[in-house]
Amino acid sequence: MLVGLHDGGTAQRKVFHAVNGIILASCCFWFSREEGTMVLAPIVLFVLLSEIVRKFFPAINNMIAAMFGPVMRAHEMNKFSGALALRLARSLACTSSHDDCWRM
Amino acid sequence: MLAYVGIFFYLAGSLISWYFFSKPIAILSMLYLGFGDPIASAFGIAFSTPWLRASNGKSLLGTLAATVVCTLITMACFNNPLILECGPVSNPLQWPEYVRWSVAIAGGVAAGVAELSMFGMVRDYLDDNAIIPVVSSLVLYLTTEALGHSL
Repeated sequence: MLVGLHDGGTAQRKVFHAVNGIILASCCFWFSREEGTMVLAPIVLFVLLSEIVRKFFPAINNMIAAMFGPVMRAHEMNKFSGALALRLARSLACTSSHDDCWRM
Repeated sequence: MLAYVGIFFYLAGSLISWYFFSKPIAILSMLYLGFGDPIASAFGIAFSTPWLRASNGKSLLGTLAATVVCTLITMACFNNPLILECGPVSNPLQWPEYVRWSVAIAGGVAAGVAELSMFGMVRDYLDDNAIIPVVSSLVLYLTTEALGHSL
């Protein structure tokens, strides 16, 4: 178990969660679908790849855990983290803000 | 079990939100995700009463807190002229009061219940970060359509 790792309920993780929600909503508000896609899609792809890589390479997993340990749940050390889900949700919601794609 | 299988369900759910919901609904659902989930967790920890917990460990008080907060977030958005910048189909500022409260409560309850609904295989494979925006978006959309005031 890595030092500094917490399992649920840390203040840092909740603040991180709320700040991400605000950033996400702001992105949806201000940016068009194209802008959101251009900026966030590469970030999401990078995060997705890093999540896959850390699954198979313990050294990389430890490095990511050292950086994001305070905002990760203990069980997320060995599986994909909620941070990825949050970033993906943000990216995809922002991309939905294009005028022509608001509704179906 | 592959722990990362859930991400694919998450992607599918997010893509559904992306394609099917409007900008105001997407913003509301992301605010639910940002505030409802941490507040539910904080309340669940602060008021850790065993008999008020569901079998999946989720606190009913936490769910109630998330519901109230998400309802208030929705009303705050509906009362803010900035929402017009999102290009809603109809103007929430001109909706009857009962419609605004109905939509706000529906959205809040959806976010709270989505948080609470992490049972069994759903919990094994999905993250509530994925469920909350999709479910709340769907409920907001259906509620506004049912009440004749598209968002």
